[in-house]
Amino acid sequence: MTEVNKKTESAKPAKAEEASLEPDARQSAKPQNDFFAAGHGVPTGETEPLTPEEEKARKRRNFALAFGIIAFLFLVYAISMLRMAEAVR
Amino acid sequence: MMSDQISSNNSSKPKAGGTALGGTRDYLALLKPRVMSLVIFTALVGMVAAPGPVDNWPLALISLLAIAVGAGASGALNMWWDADIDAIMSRTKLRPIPAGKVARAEAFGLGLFLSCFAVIILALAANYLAAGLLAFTIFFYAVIYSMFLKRATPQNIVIGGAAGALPPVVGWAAATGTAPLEAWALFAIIFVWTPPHFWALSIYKVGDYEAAGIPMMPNVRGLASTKKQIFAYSLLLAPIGVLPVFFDMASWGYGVVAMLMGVWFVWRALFLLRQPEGSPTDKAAGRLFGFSLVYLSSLFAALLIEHWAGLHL
Repeated sequence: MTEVNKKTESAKPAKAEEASLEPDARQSAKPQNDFFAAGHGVPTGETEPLTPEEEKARKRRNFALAFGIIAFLFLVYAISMLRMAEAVR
Repeated sequence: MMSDQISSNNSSKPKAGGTALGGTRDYLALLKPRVMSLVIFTALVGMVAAPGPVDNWPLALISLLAIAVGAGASGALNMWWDADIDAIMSRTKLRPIPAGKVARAEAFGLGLFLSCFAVIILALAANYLAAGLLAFTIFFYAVIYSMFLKRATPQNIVIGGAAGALPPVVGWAAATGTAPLEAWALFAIIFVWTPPHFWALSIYKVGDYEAAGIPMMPNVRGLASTKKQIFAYSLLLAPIGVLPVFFDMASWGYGVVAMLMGVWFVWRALFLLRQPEGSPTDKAAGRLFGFSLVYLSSLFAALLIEHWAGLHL
């Protein structure tokens, strides 16, 4: 958890921005663990450094997501072609 | 209720930031591949048993892929929701979320993405009726069964069984654009088969369900009542298994297989019922559970073979 709370250099402006926020907004700027509460859009300036293994896993997930989107596009294209071929027949 | 559920599930998060180290295998495990294979099989039988030949096999195969992906999506959404109880039960504690390999939010995202993917592809490759039925199946399994029924009533798998019984109707609708009574006969077979199948499992996993606080029939109504209900459902299932013959979907070749397997099912259920009070019934329940899988596979395989081999005229 200590690693998680380490601030990077780029965090400084965000920290100043956070200080200028209203108390309620600052409250919501705290890191949230709850699934539905996550991502309120208030920058906290905090980053979580990833280990090399985690970075690799993230890359794999990104590739899988890209594959999913490309597969979707390909299937839509293939279905269109098959439907057109059917109509021609 | 939802926020309580989520916060109670946070303990199973793999890391503070939700970054997981899961590989392809873990994400595939989220889709419940064994359930997917059964869904593909029953949906294929629904397609083949529908009247008339399958006009366009490439489109039919894409439709099957969409149905399989839809089943996988509902599996991922189920694991997202049930991560807390999965961590308690011996049968499920090695699933990717409780094992810390996949973050809950990722399972949720994957489930939603694949649900949309599957429904849109099926709408394009087949028709809106099939896509609508698939969307309803995913909704019924992920929301009605997982979120409400499973933890609320011992009739959870009786009502929830509808989600598992819908794939042949989806397959039929994908092939013909209709869902007539004949398709619902296939639905009825899986729907009535589900309670004895799951209650047999819950008899020899009763400790698991008790620990997780899931109201399954054996730990709510007791073993004797569960065995009686399994027997009653098996008596109902045997004639329902023969229904396709009377709907002119199958010939008597299928009918003989369905009757023999039905009698065997009833005999297995009777054997379980006759286990004396207090004696360990795990073995008999385990055998019935194993046989129930053989039963369903045999009936649907017989239908498939009849239609493919042209034995049914």
